[in-house]
Amino acid sequence: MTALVVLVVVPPLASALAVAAGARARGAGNVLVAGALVSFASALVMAVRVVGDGHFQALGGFVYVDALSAFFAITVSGVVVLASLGSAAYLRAEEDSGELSGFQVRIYYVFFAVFASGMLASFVAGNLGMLWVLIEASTLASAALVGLEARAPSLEAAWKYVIISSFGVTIALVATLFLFYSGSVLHLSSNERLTWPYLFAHAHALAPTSLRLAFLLAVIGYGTKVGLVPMHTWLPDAHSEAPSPASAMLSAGLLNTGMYAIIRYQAIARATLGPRYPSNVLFVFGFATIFVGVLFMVRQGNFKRMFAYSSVEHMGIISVALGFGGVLGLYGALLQVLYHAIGKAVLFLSSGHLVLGYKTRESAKVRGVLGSLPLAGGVLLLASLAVAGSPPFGVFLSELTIVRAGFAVSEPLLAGFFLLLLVIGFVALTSTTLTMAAGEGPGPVVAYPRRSGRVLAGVPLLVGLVVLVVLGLWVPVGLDHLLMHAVGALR
Amino acid sequence: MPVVLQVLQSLTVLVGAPLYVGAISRAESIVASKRGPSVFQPYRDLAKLLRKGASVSDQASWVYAGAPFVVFACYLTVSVIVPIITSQPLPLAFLADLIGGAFVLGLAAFTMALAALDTASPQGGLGASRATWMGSLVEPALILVFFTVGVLSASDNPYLMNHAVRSSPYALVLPTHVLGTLAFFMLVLVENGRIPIENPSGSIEISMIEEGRVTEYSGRHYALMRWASWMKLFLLSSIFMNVFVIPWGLGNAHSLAGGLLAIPVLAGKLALCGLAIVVIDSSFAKLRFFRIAEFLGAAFLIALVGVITSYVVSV
Amino acid sequence: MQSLSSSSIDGTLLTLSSVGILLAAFACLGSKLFNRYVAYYGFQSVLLSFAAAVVAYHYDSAELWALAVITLALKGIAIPVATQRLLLHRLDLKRDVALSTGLSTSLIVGALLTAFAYLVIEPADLPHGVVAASVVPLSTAVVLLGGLAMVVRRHTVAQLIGWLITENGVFLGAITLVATFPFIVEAGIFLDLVAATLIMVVFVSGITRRLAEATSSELRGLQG
Repeated sequence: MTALVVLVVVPPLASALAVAAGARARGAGNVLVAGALVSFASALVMAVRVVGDGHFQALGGFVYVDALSAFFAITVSGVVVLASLGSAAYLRAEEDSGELSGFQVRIYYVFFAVFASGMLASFVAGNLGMLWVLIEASTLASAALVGLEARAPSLEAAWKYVIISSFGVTIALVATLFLFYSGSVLHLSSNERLTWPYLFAHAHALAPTSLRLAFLLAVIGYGTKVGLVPMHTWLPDAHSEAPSPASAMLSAGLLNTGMYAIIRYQAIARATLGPRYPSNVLFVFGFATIFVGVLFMVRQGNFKRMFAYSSVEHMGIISVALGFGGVLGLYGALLQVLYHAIGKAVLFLSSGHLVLGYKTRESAKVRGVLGSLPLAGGVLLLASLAVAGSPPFGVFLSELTIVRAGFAVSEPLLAGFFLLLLVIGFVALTSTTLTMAAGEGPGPVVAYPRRSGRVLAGVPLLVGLVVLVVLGLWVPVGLDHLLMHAVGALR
Repeated sequence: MPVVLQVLQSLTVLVGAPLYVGAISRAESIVASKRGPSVFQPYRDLAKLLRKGASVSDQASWVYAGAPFVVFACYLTVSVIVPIITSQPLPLAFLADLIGGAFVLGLAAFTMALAALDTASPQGGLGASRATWMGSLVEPALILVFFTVGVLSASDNPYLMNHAVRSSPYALVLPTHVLGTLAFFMLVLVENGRIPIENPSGSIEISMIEEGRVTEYSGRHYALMRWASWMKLFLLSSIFMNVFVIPWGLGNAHSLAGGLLAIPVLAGKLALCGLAIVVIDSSFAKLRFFRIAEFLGAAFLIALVGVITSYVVSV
Repeated sequence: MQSLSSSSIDGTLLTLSSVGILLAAFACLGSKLFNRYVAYYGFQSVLLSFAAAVVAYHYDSAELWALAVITLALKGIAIPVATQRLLLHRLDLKRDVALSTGLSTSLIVGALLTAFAYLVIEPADLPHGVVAASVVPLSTAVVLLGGLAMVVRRHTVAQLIGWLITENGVFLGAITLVATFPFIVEAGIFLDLVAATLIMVVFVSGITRRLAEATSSELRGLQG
């Protein structure tokens, strides 16, 4: 099992080694894709083992895998697979056209590898202090990706990103300290007092006042990472200025990593303080987040920014689902995590095609994509419908589950308000992408992808789309088991 | 016996103040590699000024003529109510607590400002307006400083404060007390026009604050004004040392020997305080006038943080 | 293991040094010249490593001694010197003119934040007579002051130092509240801190090469 954990976490780093050995964009990209596939396969095996044998623990709790970790590892390693396929194509094109120097390409692969490994490692870290360290490390690596192009706007975005999220993560560190402190009455060693299974088992004995503070600070601190309003200000900048595959990783990977930390803290807080307080905190942040995300999507001229605000909206949706709680709420939240991750990864990757083809990020200048870049246009349209929550795609299913959860815990008003916001978000997102895909206007500046990269660039889009449709029609038995185990681990 | 001590205490202040100032200016000269005036020079100045007659402007009213006596009396009053050589209250100490003492000092400043305006000389007006502006910033900080020691002793009586600190020396290193001490020292510098605020040996009339107010005075009146301002330095330094820094070494209210012995001890303490003043005087430059507000703001802030830290720490 | 009591000598030293750390944060907030700003940060870190050494001495813990030494070497010496050399000298930064409020105003706001920290961290939450009861509110205040410095100062270098001040505040809270924090986690935190500082330094120099003043008032391209 330990070997399996290593196989989940380490393979993406292979591309960093390849770069160190002198590989160029093509070679490093291939190594990255291979590593990501190994990770993904190992994560699947890990999930099967965990569902079969229960949780796994090693190195005094520093490594801890339960169904929830396995679920997030699958989600994020899946995203890494899609994004690394996208990176291989995108960076090859950028290097060929001279937009990025060889040095920048090497930097990209090194930090992409660290970023991916850091995220995957944070899911298998049982120690909540170590979780903090890994999340901060992956944030820093991703900041380097945001600032990669070294143009004034991307440096600005990277600066905002690194300074705001570092401050937020510092607050999360304070939360970790208070969590540690709240367990000072327990007869546990100092490592165990930060380790999830021990904390969760002894949650009833934790000091309530400091735990209350710890939970609030954790939601604020990790919420900065997740993009909860009002700590979201860096998010649209960073996601729109990063190279598109990195945007996919940020939106579909890193946000979920922050959410994973919040889910863990919420489970402990719920066990100690009862469901009311954590739910209220998550409702306040969640609804504010959906509201602001939706409003900013309505009149957004830059399509990458619009997708970023859509991510903000979805993070709000997940928080509200966690707030509703109960089996349905948690189940819906986790489904939403998975579907949003795939949908948003696909959406950002297709936006990469548009950026490379049209050399602009303004949606008003992109028209008639279906005709000029049929693959990207079709995927853009379908993926935006999917992310907005139209059937038969998965997000519809998960949002339906969340609304049901709202009615189940007898919060009809909140659930109704939630629905209303979702409708506005749906209209805002799809009306923009519809005109981009179908309208009439000048064609693209260059045709992307070129013949040689077509397969590489097209595969992640199609694979992601197929997965979205399949999962929307039918939740596989294995996934259902995994989710039920994950929900069970939190209750 | 307490009456004798009471008189002895005021005499100490009256006689000691010029010596203290003389010693400080001598030390500053030595630091600046000059020989400097004798430490007894202030006495000679006083003797000379007291022999001379006072010339009074024909525009000035009785306020001008009366002010030096009021000011002098104010400082003399303060000298009977604060712990200078005894740690127990002397017969007249009931007159006022520390805040009352601050009021008396305020009265002196007010009288000086009135007198400075009375002659309608521009120098006096400038000095008075500046001093009053600074005074308005000093007051809140001073009150907060009293709170910081008040928190420890649950009192605003200087004797009780002295006693509280003395009986639990641990209080000396409490954050509250340390911050209060620091803020009070800054205020001592401001009140006496020492270096970050103004140059005590400066002679540029336009930048004078403390001296600007008394620039019209001459002869006997001037002697009283100077003497009063030296007493102020002496008094504030003694309070600083006896209440805040070293609350030991004071006599009790019933033994003359104890009181007499306290005088050389006090001299030692003042030597320390004077040394600190000399170091600051010779190593910093005068602040621009509008930066003074920042200096006082810092003193206020330090005292405020001191009061806040007392919220949690209790002795 | 009993907690550090506030009336012991160790506890007193710890309290005093944390007051010093708070005052250093105020000094940072109130200084206009960049080199003073950085110097006060260095001074604060030296005090912090002293505080860590006191805690290490009290608990006789080799790990905490190591932390104290690392703090001194990294935060007290390496980071201030590197900032001076790599940023201030090379970019020729002297006075910080990119303030969004006056210095006095920011000091007053800082005092209010300090009061706020004391109100939030209710002493009732912490056992009486334990040194943490007096230090944790102080460290919270330092965290808030660091944040305030990041808000008030618009120059990127100043924001970087503001963040480091915040980090110092958290560290101070950590060593007093939970002296037994697992060492491996602390080491990880340190690594992250160093990496973050390096990345920020790279960004700052990149931004300065692109923009004239590198203040966030110029960083206005991305909105909406």
